[in-house]
Amino acid sequence: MEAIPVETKIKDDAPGAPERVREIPKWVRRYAHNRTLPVLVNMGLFLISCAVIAGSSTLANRELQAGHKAAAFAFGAVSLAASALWVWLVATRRLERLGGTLSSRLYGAEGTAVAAAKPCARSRADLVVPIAFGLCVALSVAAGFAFETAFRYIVPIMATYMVPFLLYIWARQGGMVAPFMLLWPGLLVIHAVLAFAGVHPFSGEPNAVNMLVPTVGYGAIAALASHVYSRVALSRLRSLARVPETDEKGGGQHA
Amino acid sequence: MMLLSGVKEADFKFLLSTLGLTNGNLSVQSGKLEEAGYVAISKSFEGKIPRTRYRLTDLGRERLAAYWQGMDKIRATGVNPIQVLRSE
Repeated sequence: MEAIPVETKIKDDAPGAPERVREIPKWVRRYAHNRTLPVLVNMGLFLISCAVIAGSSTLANRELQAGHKAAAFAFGAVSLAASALWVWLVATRRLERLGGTLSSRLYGAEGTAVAAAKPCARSRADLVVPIAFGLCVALSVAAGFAFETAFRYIVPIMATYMVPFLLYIWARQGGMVAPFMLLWPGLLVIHAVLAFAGVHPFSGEPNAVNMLVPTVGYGAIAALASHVYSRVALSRLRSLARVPETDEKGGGQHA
Repeated sequence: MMLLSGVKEADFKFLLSTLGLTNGNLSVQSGKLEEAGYVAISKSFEGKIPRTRYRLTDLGRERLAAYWQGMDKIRATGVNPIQVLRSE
């Protein structure tokens, strides 16, 4: 068969050009890794639990300083119970299952693409680490009452157990979650260093914002940045993968 | 196949919305790939909603890699690979 002359050289940026087609796996990976809407929802749940824990801790501290021991213990118990509930949700993977359900619903119109991940066998550490994290939270709250921890040390102390916990969670995803989420521990470290140096990034006065932002605000920023990038990746992916089809029987090129 | 090579699996809706194909076209194309052993298709229900999932098989990955190796060899000769393929 004689070669059918191709009158024009296929340009590298033309639909179906090899260089464009070869980019498809990269962009679909980036899209799948950055589907973080469920993470944002989990952030919301975390924010609520943090608000309960931090709020009840603050109230317990105030009641204690006012000499109302019974009320202080009651609020302290609420704080500890909320910590325990969070640990249970993480350790039993109920949060993970919730994320899966939410993912299906939030991304319904786009469908589902599951990022490839290195298999992570379930290990005892999946139970031990969240429990250890919860204990650290409880101990730091208790220490705050007992020793009236200076505000400049609160965030640095929190960072000592929260950063390893976040890194562990990220690593246990086996590469399913994008590096964008590492913004959270990264920003937390910066905030901790500034707080230790006496600089409060959001206000000159110690307040709930300086507590809530490191605990969940930076996570929301990271998840939001990741979600925005997933929109970029999806747009790019569709521009690469869509080629005009010719007929029902598929004479066109498809990626 | 290139789409599936970047993920563990994807469902029918994702392939449809990303590729911009019709239901029929995607079904026909994916059926051919499944017959060739390049793609594994699994169907299930989530409640009452049917879900069809696609995954590239090991054979599919091998053939895809071989395809690109062949294309690279052709391009290395300076010849337009589309012209070569149409002439075969």
